[in-house]
Order: sequence, then C-alpha cells, then structure tokens
Amino acid sequence: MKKTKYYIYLITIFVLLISITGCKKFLSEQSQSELRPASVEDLTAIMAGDGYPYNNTMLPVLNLLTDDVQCNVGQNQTNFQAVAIKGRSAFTWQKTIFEDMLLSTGAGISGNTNVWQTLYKKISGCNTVLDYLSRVSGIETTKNHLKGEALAMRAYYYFMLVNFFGKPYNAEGADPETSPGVPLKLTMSVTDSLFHRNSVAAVYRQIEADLKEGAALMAANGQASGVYKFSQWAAYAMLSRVYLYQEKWDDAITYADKVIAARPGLTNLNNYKARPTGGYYLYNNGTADNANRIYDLSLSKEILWMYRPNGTGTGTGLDEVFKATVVPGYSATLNPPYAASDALLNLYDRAPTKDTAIYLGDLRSRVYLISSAYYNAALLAIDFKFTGGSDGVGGAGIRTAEVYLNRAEANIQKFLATGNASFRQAALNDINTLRVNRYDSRKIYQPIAIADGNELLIFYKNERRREFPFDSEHRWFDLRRYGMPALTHTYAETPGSIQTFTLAVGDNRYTLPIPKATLDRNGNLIQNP
Amino acid sequence: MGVVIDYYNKRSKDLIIYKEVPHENGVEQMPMNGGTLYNSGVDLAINLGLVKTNDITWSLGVNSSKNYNKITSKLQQNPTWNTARSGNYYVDGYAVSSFWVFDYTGPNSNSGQPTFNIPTTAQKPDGKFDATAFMKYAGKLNPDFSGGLNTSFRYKTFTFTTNAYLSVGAHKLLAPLFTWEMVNSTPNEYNNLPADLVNRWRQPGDEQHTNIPGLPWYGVPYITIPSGDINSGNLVQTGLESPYTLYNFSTARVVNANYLRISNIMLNYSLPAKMLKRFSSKSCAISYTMGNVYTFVSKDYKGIDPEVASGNQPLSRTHSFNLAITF
Repeated sequence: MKKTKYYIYLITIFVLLISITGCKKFLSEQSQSELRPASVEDLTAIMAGDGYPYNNTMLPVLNLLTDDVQCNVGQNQTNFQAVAIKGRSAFTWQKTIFEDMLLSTGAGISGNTNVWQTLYKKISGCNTVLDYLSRVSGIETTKNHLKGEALAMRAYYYFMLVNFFGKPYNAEGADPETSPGVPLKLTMSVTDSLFHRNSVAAVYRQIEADLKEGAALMAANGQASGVYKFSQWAAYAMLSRVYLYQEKWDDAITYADKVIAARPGLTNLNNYKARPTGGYYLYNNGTADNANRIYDLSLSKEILWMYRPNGTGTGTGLDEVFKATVVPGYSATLNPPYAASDALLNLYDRAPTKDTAIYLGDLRSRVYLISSAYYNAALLAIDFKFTGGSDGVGGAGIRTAEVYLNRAEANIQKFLATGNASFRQAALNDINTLRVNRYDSRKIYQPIAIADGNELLIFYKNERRREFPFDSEHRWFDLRRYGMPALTHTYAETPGSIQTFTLAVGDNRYTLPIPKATLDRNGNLIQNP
Repeated sequence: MGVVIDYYNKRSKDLIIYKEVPHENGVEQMPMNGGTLYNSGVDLAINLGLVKTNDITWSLGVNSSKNYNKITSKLQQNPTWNTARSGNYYVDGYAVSSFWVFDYTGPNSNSGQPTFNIPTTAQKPDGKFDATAFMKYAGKLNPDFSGGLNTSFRYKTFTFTTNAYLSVGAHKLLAPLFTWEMVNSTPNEYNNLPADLVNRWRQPGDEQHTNIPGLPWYGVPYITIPSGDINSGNLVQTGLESPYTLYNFSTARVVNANYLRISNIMLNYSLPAKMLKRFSSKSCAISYTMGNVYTFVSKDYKGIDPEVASGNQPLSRTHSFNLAITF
C-alpha cells in the first residue's frame, strides 16, 4: 500500500514536470506564427515582397496629369462616362485628387492610390532589410549585394516621393535647401512621433548617398539576378537622372558613361514583328499582340531594371482609366475615354496611313502605345484608337535608352553654356544612336544634324517625350523640371458639358497635395500650397 | 416594489491599444501599453407593482445606468480639428466624448459661400498646437442620462405592454450636407440630395432669410486655418480646408440629440378557459406587436428621422400578429 502511494507521488511530480517544461516553450517570447528573419535568404524574400514595387499603384495618377493624355467626349455611353469619372480628379488637377481617387465607391480607382502611404510602406520594407542584415547568417557577398539593392530601392522611392510632393529641385524662386520635401525615415522602428518634412535638398542628398553606396556594394559583390532586381547599372542610371534633375551636367554624364560602357545595347524595334503578314498589324501592339512591348524580356535587351505596375491585364489600377476595350467597342465615332493625346501622336513620324505601306517611320507609337483596332467603313480599312499605357507585359522601369538621352541632354546644356561644338556632336550621336533603333529599317535612317543649340534642346525634349509615353514617371517629372509649362486639359463627360482646365506656368499644382488621410495622422506635415 | 442597484469600479492599467501612427512608418498602427482606464458606474432598476387584483395588474419598470470612465494616457494626441470634432479628443476639464466645431457665421452675401469666425493665431496663440483654441465647444456625444421605461397592464386575460427608451443631454452632428460629388459636377439624377438644399442661398440678399450656403464648385477658395510653424516644434494644423468641409463640421450642423423612443407596443389576449374546452385546447393567445412606434426628438431635426439625419438607414416600423395555440 505504501509503495503505491509512493508511485502516485512520483507520477504526479513527473506529470507536473512535463507540463511545466512543455509550457515554457509555448510561452516563450517569440511569436509562433510570425517570421523572424534568421538568414539572408529570409531577407531576400522580404526584399522581394516588401522592398520591390511589384504590382503597386503609383502610375494611374501620374499618367493622367501629363500632356500625353486627352479626354475624349463621354459620347453618351454610360460605360465611357464611368471611365471618365474615375480619372476626372487627376485629369483636372483637383486639390482633392487623392481623396477622390481613394474613394471605394464612385470615382475611385481600386487598390491603394495613396501614393504617400504606398511608397513609405516600401521604404519600411527596405529599412527592415537594412536593419536586420547585421543580425542574420549567410554569405557575406550575398548580404552586401542585398544591402546595395535595399539602399538603391530606398533611394528610388524617395526620388518618387520628393518629385510627387516636393517642389522641383530646379524650380525658379524656390531654394531646395528650404523648400519642404518629405520626411526622411531611415530606420525600421515604428514610432508615434510626428515627423517633419525634410528639405528637398536634404532628400536629394540622401538619395545620392544611398545610390552611391548601393551601387558600390552591388558592383563589388556582383551577383547577376535578373532585371527584376536592382543592379549597379540601374543605380548608375538613376544617379545620372538624379544629377540631371539637379542640373549637375558633368555628374550626369559621368554616371551615364558608366552604364553605356558596360551596357551599350539598345533594343531594335524592327525585331518586333508580331504578324509577318504585313500591313497595319505588322508592328501593331493591339490587344491581340500585347505581349509585344518595350519591357518584354524576350525581345528587349535594354532593360536595366523593371517592375510590373498594378493594372497590367488585371483590370485594376492603370487598366481602369486606360482601357483597351470598353463596351460598346471603339469605332470611328467612339473614342477611348482617356487616350494618347493628339499632341503626342503628332510628334511621331507616322508616315503610312494605308494597309499596304511598306515603310512605317517611327515605330514607337505602334510598339509603346496600346491601340485597339476597329474597322473604319469610311476608309474601308482597319483603323486604330491609341489608348496609351496599361495592359501587356511589364510597363515601368529603367532602360538604357534613358541613359543615352540623359547624356545627350547634359551635353546640349554644356553646348549652350560653352558653345563648344564637340558637346553638340556628342549629343547628336547619342540621339541618333537611339533613333536608328526606333525607325523602320526598310528605309535607310536619316540622321538628324541640328546646328542651333536651342533648337536641338527642343528636339531633344520631344525625343524624350516620344521615348517615354506612359512609361514610368518620366513625362510628369520632366514637365516639372522643364520649368512647369502651362497645360490645358479639356474634360468632357457628356457631349454637351465640355470644361477646360488650365495649369498656369509654375502652377502650385505641379507639386501634388499630400493625401488628407496622411495629414490627419501627422499634424506636423505642412500641406503644399 | 423591487429595487436593484449595482455599483462597479474597475481599474485597468497598461492596456494594449492599437495606436494609429503616421504613414511614414510604413504601417498604420502599432500596439502599445497605452495607459490606464478607470471605469465605474451604477446600474439601477426599479420595478413597481402599482395595482394587483384578480382582474387588474399594472406594473411599471424603470432602468438606467450611468457609466463614468476616465482615461489617463501618456500618449501624444494629434490635436487637429479633425480629432477635435470626432469626440476622441481628451481635454482636462471636459467630459469624455466632448467635441468641438467651427463657429459658422452664415453665407457670404456676395458668393453664398460659408463664412466662419475662426480666431487667428495672433488672437489665440494656442491655436498653433490645440485646435480647440479656434473651435467652439459643441457639447458631448454621450448622454447625461439614458434609460429604459416599461409598463405592463393586465385586465383579465387582456395584456398591454410597452417599452420606451429615453436619452437626455447629448449633442451630435448631422450627416454632411455637402459631398464631394457636388463640387466637380452636377449630381446625377439617381443621387439623393438633402431637402435642406432647397432653401439654400441663391443670390445676394438670400442671406437675410436663409442660413444654408450656396452650392459648392471646384473654384471655391479654401480657408486657411491656424497653424504653427514647422521649426518651432509645435504641433501644427494641416493648412487649408474647403469652407464646405468646415460647414459640415460647424455649429450649423450640431443638434440637440435628446430623444424618447417608443420601441414597441404589444397587445395580448388569451382566450378564457371556458372557450378553450370547446375545441379541447390547453391555451390559445392572440397578440399584436408594433415595433419602432414613434420617436420624440428635438426640433433641430426638422422632421427628419434622427437615424437618417445622422447618415444611417431609418429604423423600419414593424407590425406582427401572432396566434399561439397549444393542444
């Protein structure tokens, strides 16, 4: 009897011991369901998901603001009007642009159009990677390369932010040292302190420093990882752009040289032959062949870095305003609600109008822009409606073509300043190198040779516009640094109600208002005028 | 007569709350040990049996509760006007759920746009870091007293019951009169607009007999509201606002939210035992209930259902007949 009692005690103690030790593990301070990055592979995954801009919505707003877009009359079609309303606020430069486009009903674009929030979310992804790198295991070169990518991406996002919400660096009458940019948040820690806006110049200094450090790290720890990941070449290209925006011509040339020395190749658009049967469909980038774009990896060799914006074939984001199709379909009288503007299309050398033409001139309007084919009874031919961006593969990133243009612009400016003809020649060479890859090769390309510096600058600006229609952030940001020219948009929801909106030279609205949802959370942010 | 009084007193500290943080963090909220909550209150229920005979019973019940809570928080508040009008702004000396609105001074005699009496930072320096300095105290969202009333009256097998709810001492804001759709274009035909707009300002002189501003359009100049400067370290207000946004949160939209709602009336008749025998039933009752009978509200609502006036769906009146037979 005594022995049984002894056993019972023993068993009780044993059970207690097991349950206590079992609990300890369960009650440990580490979360059971959340990831704590331990290796560099974990951080690479975090970078891919939270650091790179896959599928995010930055562009619908930007593409509606420029002079590359026009609104066609709503044409008494409910479906057309609904599309027009979605883009109205951005297209007419309203102060409430973000509030209107964030609405879940009515005029809203689905997905998050609070650009401020979207970009800072990505920045926090980069900061997380940077802060954790010293605490994880892994090969040193992999870690260093990842650090370079995170720094460069963070710089890219700050570049976007400061150009969305801060005055242009070269704005007349505004000192970048005092004009408000965006708050610099460079660590991952979350705090409830209310951030102040750093000056535009301070943000640019951070961008430069991050890009330089990032490029150096990526160059020293070279690991080619495809165009969806940042590389030193993309970082050098960004540096040439950042210096161009600051009008530091020599630095812009230095970094452009670095890219072109290593990655001189440009994509020849003559390889974009989707339908060898000829005629209008030969280079057409219509809905049937929409894989055929400049960010198509299988055809384009000049991509330094790219990402897939929201709204490529998904029906959301860009797709909601630049629609490849609307019911009823486009016709001679039914035009896309928002489309590539006549002003833009007229810049292209669009020689042929006949189906049988064997020379098509500048191929860019066909390859870069989406067009919807319809049968035009009056012309007895297939005609096109150009709708601009959206749909198809890829859509945004950094290309070698830009680097050639950056260098050309810097050289033109140096020619204007010094009168030294070698700068003019260098610029012409770069522009012609680009254009020969853009023209139909069935005729021999005629190089341009403009002698006058100012004329060349105008030609250059148009060339840059031709090269980047609806591509990334280029046109809006370029307009800002070109002295913020006057723009006019004509908005017509119904045939009878045509309203004209104008943006005056140097208009305050060239600097977008900070979304109200963001201001409400931080009383220290001063709204743009 | 029966009286039940419950008193409770609860103190919680280091509450985990999810605080909204600036977007610059990349996240919207963070959990933190936010502060201390004192919660005390009284629940009171009184039942009176007024009459009780074989044929007649009449009872009356009143119940009420009063809750006091106080939050001591070390957290920094975001003292913008938007917080001040929401009822979530805690100021020493003001009850929880106090809210502030803009002092509306009527439509402008030339443009019909709303005008306000907003003290500048020169007049009230506190406006640099506290929105309540240039706004007007409008009351509080929580009532001083609220409680239920019920009474039940029986005559033989006929019963009458009713329930009512009373709320006194609260104020609230009506649903916004002006919405963004009105700014950029004429509203669609399927878009309902408030009937108040019929009496809006239309031409100079109208301000003599109407208090409602004219329609907004996209060119309306924004009003500057007091703010601190960026270098002083003060908490600053967010710049410009549309006068129509301010109107939606102005003295013109504050109403006295006192109300007495008769939630339901029920009539019940049970057949006498004599009749039941005829068809060998144990019990048989017929009843009729009307839900959401009527609500007595303040004149400020101008005859509009108070639920609708604050932007909700109206409570529907329900009628139900019930026949219950047991064999």
